[in-house]
Amino acid sequence: MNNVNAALLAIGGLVVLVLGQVMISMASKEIEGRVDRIGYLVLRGARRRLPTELRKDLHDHEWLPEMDSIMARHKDQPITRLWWSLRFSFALLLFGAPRTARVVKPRARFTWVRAFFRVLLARSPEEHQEARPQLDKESQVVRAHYARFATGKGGKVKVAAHVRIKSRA
Amino acid sequence: MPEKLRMTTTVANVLREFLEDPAEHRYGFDLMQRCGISSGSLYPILARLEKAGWIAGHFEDIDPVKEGRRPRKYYTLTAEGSVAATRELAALSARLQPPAWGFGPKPATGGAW
Repeated sequence: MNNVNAALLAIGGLVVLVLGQVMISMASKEIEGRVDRIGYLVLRGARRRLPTELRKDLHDHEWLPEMDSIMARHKDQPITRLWWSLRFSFALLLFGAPRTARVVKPRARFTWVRAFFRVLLARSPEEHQEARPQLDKESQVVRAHYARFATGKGGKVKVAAHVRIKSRA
Repeated sequence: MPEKLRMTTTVANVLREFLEDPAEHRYGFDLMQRCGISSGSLYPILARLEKAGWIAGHFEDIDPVKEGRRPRKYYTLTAEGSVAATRELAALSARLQPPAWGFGPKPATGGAW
C-alpha cells in the first residue's frame, strides 16, 4: 500500500511540475508580448508630436517599418529587442520627431508681422488689396489670443475655425 | 543642382557612410548602428539631405503579406549628391587639419624659455 501511495505521489508531483513549467512558459510569453508593445507605444507618442500632414509619411511609412525590422531582426533576443526598440523610439519621441518635422515642413513665423509690412509697403492699390485680407485674418487671430489672455477665459472675440486652422498651417 | 548644406561632423559621418558604397541601399536603423548615432539625430539629417537632393528615398519592393512586415524606406546617394558630398568632406577634412608650424611640431616648453 505504501508503495502505491509513493508511486501516486511521484506521478502527482511530476504532473504539478510539468503544469508549473507550462504556466511559467505561458506567463513569460505573455509578458514578452506586452513588453514588445512598449516600443510601439513610445513610437506612437512620437507620431503625435508630428504635424498631422506628416504623420503618414514619417511615422507610418518610415519609422514603423523600421520598428518592425528591429523586432524581426532580434526575434530570439527579447532583451536586445527591447533595448533597440526603446532606443529607437525614445530618441524620436524626445527630439527626432520635432526636428525632422521642422526640416520637412518649416513653420511660417511672424506671419502677422509679414502681412502687416506687405500692406504697408504695397506699391500699388492691387498689391494692397491682395495683402489686406491676409492681414485681416491674422489680426483676428491676434485679437482672439489677446482677448483670451485678458479675460482668462476664452475671450469674447469669435474667430472662424477656418481662419484659425489656416493661420496655424 | 543640389542645395548647399550646413556641414557638421554628424552629417559628415552619415555622408561618409553613403560614400563607402554609393550604390548600396541604406536603411535608417542600419545607418544608426554604423554611424553610432541615435534615430533622433539621424532622421533630421536624412530629411535635410533628401530635401537638398543629395540622397533619394525609395520604398522596398516586397510583398508585405508574404514577408510579414511593411516595406522599409531606403536611401541612395544621387549623382549630384555624390559629387557634392566628396567635395564637402574634402573641404571639412582640410579645415580640420592641425596647423602647420614652420619647424615641425611646436615644442612644449612648459612656459619656460
